[in-house]
Amino acid sequence: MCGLAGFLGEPVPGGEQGALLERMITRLQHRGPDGYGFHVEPGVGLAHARLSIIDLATGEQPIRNADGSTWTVFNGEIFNYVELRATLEAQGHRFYTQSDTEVIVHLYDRYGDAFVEHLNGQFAIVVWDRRRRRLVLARDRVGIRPLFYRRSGGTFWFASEMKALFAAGTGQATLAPAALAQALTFWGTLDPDTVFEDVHSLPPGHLLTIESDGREHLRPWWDWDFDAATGAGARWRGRNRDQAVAELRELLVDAVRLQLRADVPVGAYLSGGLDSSGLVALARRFSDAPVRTFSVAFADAEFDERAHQQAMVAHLGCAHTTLEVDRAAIGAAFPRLIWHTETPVLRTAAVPLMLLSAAVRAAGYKVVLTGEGADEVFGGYDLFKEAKVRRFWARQRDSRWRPRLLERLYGYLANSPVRSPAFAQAFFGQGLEHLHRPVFAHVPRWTTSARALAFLSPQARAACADFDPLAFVEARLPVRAGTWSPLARDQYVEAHTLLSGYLLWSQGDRVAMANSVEGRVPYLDHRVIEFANALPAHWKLRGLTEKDILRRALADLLPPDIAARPKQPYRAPDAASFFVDGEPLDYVADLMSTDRLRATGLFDPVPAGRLFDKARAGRVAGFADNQAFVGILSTQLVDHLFVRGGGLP
Amino acid sequence: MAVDEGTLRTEVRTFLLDNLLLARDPAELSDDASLVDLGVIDSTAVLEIVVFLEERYAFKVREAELLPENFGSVLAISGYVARRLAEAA
Repeated sequence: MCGLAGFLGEPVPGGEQGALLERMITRLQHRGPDGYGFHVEPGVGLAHARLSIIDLATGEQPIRNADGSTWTVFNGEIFNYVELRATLEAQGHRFYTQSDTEVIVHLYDRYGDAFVEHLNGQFAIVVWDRRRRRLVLARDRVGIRPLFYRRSGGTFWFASEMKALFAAGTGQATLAPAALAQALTFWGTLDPDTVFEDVHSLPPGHLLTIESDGREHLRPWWDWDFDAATGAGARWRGRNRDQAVAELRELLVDAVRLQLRADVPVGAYLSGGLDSSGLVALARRFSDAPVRTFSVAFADAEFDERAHQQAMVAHLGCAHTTLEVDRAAIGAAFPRLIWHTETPVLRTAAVPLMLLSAAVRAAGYKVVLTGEGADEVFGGYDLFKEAKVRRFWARQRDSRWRPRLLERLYGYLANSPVRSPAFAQAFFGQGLEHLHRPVFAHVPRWTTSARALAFLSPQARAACADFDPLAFVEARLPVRAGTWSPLARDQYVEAHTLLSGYLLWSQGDRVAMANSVEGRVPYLDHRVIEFANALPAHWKLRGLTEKDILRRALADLLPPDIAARPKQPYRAPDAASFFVDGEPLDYVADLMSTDRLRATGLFDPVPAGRLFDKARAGRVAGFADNQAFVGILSTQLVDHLFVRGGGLP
Repeated sequence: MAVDEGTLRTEVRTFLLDNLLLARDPAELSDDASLVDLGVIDSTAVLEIVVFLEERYAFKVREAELLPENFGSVLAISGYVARRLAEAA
């Protein structure tokens, strides 16, 4: 796990290119505190910051092939490198390190751009082909590791985080209102957009090549695909579900086995839910020692899951650390979160995970398994259930009992949207006219989030006047999605919006790497995804029971109450974290002041001021107001830290 | 508590604009505009309205009365409050 940066072109005279690279890569020291490596030659520079996890002795990057004609810098892990290396060695390739990185250059030499299809892992890769003078950028299938790029002044720049691009003087960081509208609606921008003008994120499962004549070619090499679940040739048609449960169990065991590969100890996050508990139970099979586990607990009982965490700790005999987080800790750490996310967020839930990764590091661990991805892969979110009920209801809109199924959802929320059934029907009844649109499931969520857009200044609102979130996402859906089940379409949209744009970014890579910790996500092993995508929808969402097949695959490993436990989404206190006894934290008072809002120019100070007053009075309770408040504050922080180059408050 | 309907409507409208329609043009909130259509009504918003009414007009809103016909617009809310106040008089 590491950070990378570099350029293609001649940005500065040759003698100064090393210093330029150093300026970029030192900005990413948190991603790789164990050492830097550089490769500079006319027209190209590669830099690497290393977090040593595999091959501690000889794994320094950049790494080259035998004759030095292919070079790479790489952030991530290739979990099947042992098998790949054995195959390559049998084919005559000679290696000079024991690292997983070295298989990349040999695979590239043998397969060209198709090298990436052989990799099982989480990665952002840059390959420099000296012979053909071409640069290849590749990103893992689902977007676990980041890779940004920008073209300026005739030079192509790339880096693991955007702050390294800005450090190189590639041009001003300027917030793009249209992209901000995405972030405030979808909880993150959709690749390749970022909130900054002219700065792009390589989309998951994509390759970008820059040829010797400067031509750029961006193309997908992998995508979520549900074709095998539908149609006459459906893979599981007429077959036994128990067989699928058994195959899934084998696959999960193997995914965990591969992801435990490291030359340092591997710990695990334990939320107390099915997904992380299942991973810990699987990891325990590969070691006689107790699994080292870490949890967030909350001083606010509404968000706290420690009873379930402790039950699992007792069941598996884990060596466990609980980090209790309160509102004050969240408010204090929020600016640092935004320094790492480099993009606005609508919730504070990433902060406790950033604090937890610090606890992991303090305990001497660099690697943790996390349960991220299971909800997307196996249909775990309430949104999927909500959409199922709403579709059922939409077929008979005057039914009085169909919408009452919604009352079975959201029981964990203090301010549940179904607490007032008549209004729940009014709320969830919005958007039923979109029944036949592929984004139908996401309309209520985006409608709630997008209420933050009403706080934009007239100029910013004018700049994103054409933004239609439904059409925006639909334009990115593959044509074949029309043949998939509704759940499959919902999963596809979820994977390409919230998963890659928020969960793996702001709540994943960035908050773990903030403290030099690598998260690993076995449920996002592409074999697990492809297996699950081929399953009939009702084996995943059975009635209104989410992740049914995963529950069955893990049932014998878990206490019955954990195996049967309904999903409780991970959340944290939001707007309330920024006030103490009715007084705002100093930086909050500053950034939300009329002067600062006016200077940024993105939000209208009058309504934003009303929201601030409401939050200060402790009257912000629902999702919409909380998200708008956190969204405005975090945007102000992005502006402060990156556009104005201000320090951490 | 005696409050005429015009005052009621004004108070309810002011509360909605200051608390739930923070960033909306006041002109959008006509007396019969649907709060659902304006995109401000979810259960949290209903709870906020209930707390306001209970504190301002000193009566308890009954669960069974949490219906769009009582809380769906300025007119609906002020009419509901007027009925409850008349009951208590």
